[in-house]
Amino acid sequence: MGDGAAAAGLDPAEVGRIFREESGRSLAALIGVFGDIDLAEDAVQEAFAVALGKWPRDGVPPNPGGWITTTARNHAIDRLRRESRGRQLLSDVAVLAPGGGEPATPQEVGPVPDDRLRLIFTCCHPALSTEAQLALTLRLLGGLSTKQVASAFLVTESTMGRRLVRAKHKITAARIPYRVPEAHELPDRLRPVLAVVYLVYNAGLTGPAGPGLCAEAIRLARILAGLMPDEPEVAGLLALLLLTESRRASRTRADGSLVLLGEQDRTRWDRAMIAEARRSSAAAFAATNPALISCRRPSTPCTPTPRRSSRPTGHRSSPCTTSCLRSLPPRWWPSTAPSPSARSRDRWRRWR
Amino acid sequence: MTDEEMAQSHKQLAVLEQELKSTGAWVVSGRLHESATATVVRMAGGEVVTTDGPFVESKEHLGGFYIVQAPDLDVALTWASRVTGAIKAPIEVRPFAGFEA
Repeated sequence: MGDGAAAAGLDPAEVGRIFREESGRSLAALIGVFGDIDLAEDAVQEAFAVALGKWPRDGVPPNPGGWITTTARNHAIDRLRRESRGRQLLSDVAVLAPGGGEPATPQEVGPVPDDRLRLIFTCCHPALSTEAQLALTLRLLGGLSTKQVASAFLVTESTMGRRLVRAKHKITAARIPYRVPEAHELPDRLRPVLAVVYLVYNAGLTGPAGPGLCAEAIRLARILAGLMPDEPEVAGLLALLLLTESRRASRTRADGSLVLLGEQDRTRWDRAMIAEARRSSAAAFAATNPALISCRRPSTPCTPTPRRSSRPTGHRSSPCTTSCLRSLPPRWWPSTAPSPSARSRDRWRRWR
Repeated sequence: MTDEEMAQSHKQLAVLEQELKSTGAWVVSGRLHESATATVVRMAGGEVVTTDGPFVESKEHLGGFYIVQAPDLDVALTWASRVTGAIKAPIEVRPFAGFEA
């Protein structure tokens, strides 16, 4: 705790990295306690401001996420104490929060309740528009600033700010619940969540924000896969994103033109990502009903991948090759592939 | 809707309303006469003017309403899905102002 080496090595960029990694979880926990997104956002940001002053001096605490959550919770409680409208809320919090409403010491290292699953289902509630779902997910779970979200979707910061405010207002006014849907609701409710994660990835592939959004989408997919280990659609999505990402370096030439799969330099594929994708897709296919997403990019994980080969990967032995590729939604369709059939487009619409 | 479909729809709505009432969710509900029966009262030049006809000329009109109490949007949407299943027409769900947590 607070050793000199850690203190000396800490710079604001490191705090920024921790913010991206930990803020979603802290925010989700605080929304769970206070039921107020704005209050939770302000409190988490204040906690990071405190960290920025404190950690370079004292070192990063053993559990930075726990520290941030506790500090943010204390900030939120202080603020509620000052406001009359907060008193009632605070008495509710005293019932809900372990340890009561009294501020704990910021050194707390206990596990932070992982409410991120609740948060993503709220952000991706079908009562919100797709634009709002994307923006909220990146802002609240991804820890991106409004400016970053705005630049990812080619709108001005003030437009994105208004979009976020409207979305959060709808969550409050229409009482969009903060909970994970029950098993029977999950097929319908999981779809927009997965679509949002995929669209985040897609925005990273083609949009101006670049690889940052791709990494964010994979991070979100990993979180989902960790939180819902038995859900084949989630495992399939993670595998799909990892496989696409593993070939990023070999997909374009120096001049930006596209390299077809068969001509790609396979030594530049990311083996670790492919291995993770294989494990994830194996989990998806092990389920009784193979997931739709897990059928979307079947070739690579189903077959051995020789280091160099001019033949496209896996089109012979894969159990579901072209027909599954065809089920890719049109806008996700890689430019190397034949155009999808009308039937598969319909299938996508149903899935969407 | 054919007469038979209409009867079926009324039957489903009766069951639904019974359920709404027994769970304590029902506040009030009603079916409206067609829009040709509407009268609009508005302010024009500082005076109240009464005219015949609906406020907005459109192909779709409000046919009726339910006011229900629901702890959150998902519960309200569940009731709404059942109504729409019975009447085969879309239903818009809006929160009442002033009832926020």
